[in-house]
Amino acid sequence: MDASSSIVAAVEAAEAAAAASEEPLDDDEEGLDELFHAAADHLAQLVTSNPASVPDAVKLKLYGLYKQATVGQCNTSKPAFWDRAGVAKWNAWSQLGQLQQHAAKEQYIEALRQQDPQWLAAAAAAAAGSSGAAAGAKKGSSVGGPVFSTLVHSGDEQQQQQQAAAGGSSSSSIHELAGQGDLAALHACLDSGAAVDARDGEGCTALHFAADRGQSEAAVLLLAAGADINAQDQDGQTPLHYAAMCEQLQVYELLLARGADASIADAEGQLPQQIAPASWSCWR
Amino acid sequence: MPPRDEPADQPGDGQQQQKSIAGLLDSLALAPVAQPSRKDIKDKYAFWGSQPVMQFSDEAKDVEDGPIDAPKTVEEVRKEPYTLPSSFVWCECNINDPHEVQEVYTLLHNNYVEDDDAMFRFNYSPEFLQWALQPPGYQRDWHVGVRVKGSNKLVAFISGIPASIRANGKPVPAVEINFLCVLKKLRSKRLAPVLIKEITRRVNLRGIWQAAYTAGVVLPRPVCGCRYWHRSLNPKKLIEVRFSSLQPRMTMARTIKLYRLPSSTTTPGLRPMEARDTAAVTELLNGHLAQFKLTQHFSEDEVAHWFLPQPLVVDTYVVDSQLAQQQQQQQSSEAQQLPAGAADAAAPSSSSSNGAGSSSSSSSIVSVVSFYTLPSSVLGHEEHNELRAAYMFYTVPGPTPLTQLMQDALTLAAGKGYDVFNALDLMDNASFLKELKFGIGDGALQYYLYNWRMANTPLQPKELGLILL
Repeated sequence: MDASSSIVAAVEAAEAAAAASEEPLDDDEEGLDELFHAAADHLAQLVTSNPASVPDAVKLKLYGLYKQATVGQCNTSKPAFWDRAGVAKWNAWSQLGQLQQHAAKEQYIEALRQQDPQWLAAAAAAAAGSSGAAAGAKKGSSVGGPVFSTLVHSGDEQQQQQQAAAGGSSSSSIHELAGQGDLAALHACLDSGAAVDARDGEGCTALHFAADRGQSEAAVLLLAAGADINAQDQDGQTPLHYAAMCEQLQVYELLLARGADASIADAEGQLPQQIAPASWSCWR
Repeated sequence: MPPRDEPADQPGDGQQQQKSIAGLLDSLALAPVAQPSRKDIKDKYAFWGSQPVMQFSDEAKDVEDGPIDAPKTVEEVRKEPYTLPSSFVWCECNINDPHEVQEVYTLLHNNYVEDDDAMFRFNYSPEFLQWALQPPGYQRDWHVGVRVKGSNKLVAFISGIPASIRANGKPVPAVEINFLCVLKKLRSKRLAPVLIKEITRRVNLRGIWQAAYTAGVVLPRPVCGCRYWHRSLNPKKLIEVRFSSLQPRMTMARTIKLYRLPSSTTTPGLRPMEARDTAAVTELLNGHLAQFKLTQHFSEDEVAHWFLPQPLVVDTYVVDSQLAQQQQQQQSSEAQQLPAGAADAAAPSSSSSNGAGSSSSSSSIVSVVSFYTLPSSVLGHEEHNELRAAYMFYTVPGPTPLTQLMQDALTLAAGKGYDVFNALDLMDNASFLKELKFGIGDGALQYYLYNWRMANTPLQPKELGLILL
């Protein structure tokens, strides 16, 4: 069965890869599905790198369970007798009868674990590396207690995230680029003729955003491009005020070193150092 | 599969397989809370379907208020504890014992409720647990623990505390079930149903047949579904720990300004509650809560326990009209630039005249506002390890506008260094949440009653006047 086993392996690997992206996951089954697909991926790797490492009998059993788990009960006719690999695979699948897909996944995982006890640790490591959000536990799956709740992100932001995902950074303003500290894009933006002191709806310049987010390199770049270091927003606050209020010590010191006027009061009469955290007193 | 009296631990092949799969899922670090596989959900529904709780099939119009089970006597209650898997034993947790409360604290600290992304986990302090678990009439055998034989390690916990519930105006002596927690590694052992049945048995043994409890999940069948709202007090930290987010076009500076609160409260006569206020607060509270369809009735002892301020556990403020008067007189006398002595002389005389009035049960306490402290661990953050959250507790506005009273509560909480103030949308809270810049949360909280059918449910959150910790 040497020839047939490599066919099994190849088919298995291809199917595992194809199926992983196709199937929409039922929420309830998310955890099991994730593990199942991780197992399928792992088997594909295993047989591709070292075909001899998995006995044919196990490969066939896993093949049958895989088909059962992804397709359901065997729905093809038996291949002709000269197709030995095909017959072996068909037998492995059809003998599972009406086994539930859920149970087939569980048996698949268990069979692979018996074959390769190490794989689980690898799967866990890989899962830990990937984003936790999709794989995380569902909120409040415990009974008899409260629920941990966090603030829902505003629709505004989701829209922007979608925008960013769809259109890249081209839609980002110079303010956003400064806030994100995206130096290359900021350069390009300035090179393409964007006004360095352009105001947003609140009267902020890009330098305000750099100070706000502690982006000192972006601040250096903006200053080199001629940004007004003492620009005041509609509340009369300068970038120095922003650095103080947002506790961005590095930018605060940078602005002072570059000659920011610390004597400018905002509309409420507050100087930057008056709104800085108390713990900065030694720096004033 | 309905739950059996014996927990499933001598399974056949199929069960063993399922168990080992559940074990696999659990051992993946990405499954901090029991993974709700379809089987889990089916089991949960099967379990709750077998319990005396309202079912989804109950037609609202047919439901009358009353117990679900046929009345039983204490003598009929099973005398011996439910059987645990062989390596575990039941225990009572002595919350007054510093070592044992620390054990419960540690179990919860490492294994209790988390958010979706496992960034935060509730971190009830030992002092909070002593407060939450030992109100007047508490029973130590309702602080139920499970230990591992041999190592004696505490691996599971559930608690009940006595509470006089009022449902559609009817008094229902009950317990509040809370703090159900099973060690993460043992989530596959199906200990939770046994814990629920055991606490029920112990509560029944003392002649109490009803319970109230909450959960994040929808089970058969909620009497009310509420939602959490959050008011940022320290927006910079909340953004840094990713409790909330900052839009790219919004500056942190503007966000900080948006949530800035005044440095002092505005309601005249607002002061911390003192022991001498207990009777007045009790009367105010019960009078106010009577309007809600599901609520709690408090004795004076219970009010003293639940409301007298304890640092980092519970804060209660009252509006004292007499104090307000004094403050106003003082202000107006200052405004008229009277000699200081005149204001001093005026104050005692007014207090003595009001003091006489208060003995005829008309107290000078007109409003109450309270919140409790429930910090959470911030998991895996470089700079921050704790999120300090204040949770709105019972509040009686009286003649004070509720929005103003809550604004003062926010101001006080911000002044005490809390990062966020949380409230459910129950009682009259919807009237101030938006105005006071609360943002909607992603957490829903479902309220349930055990062995009590309640007509005209589910309730609207504004009809609900019950807060479980």
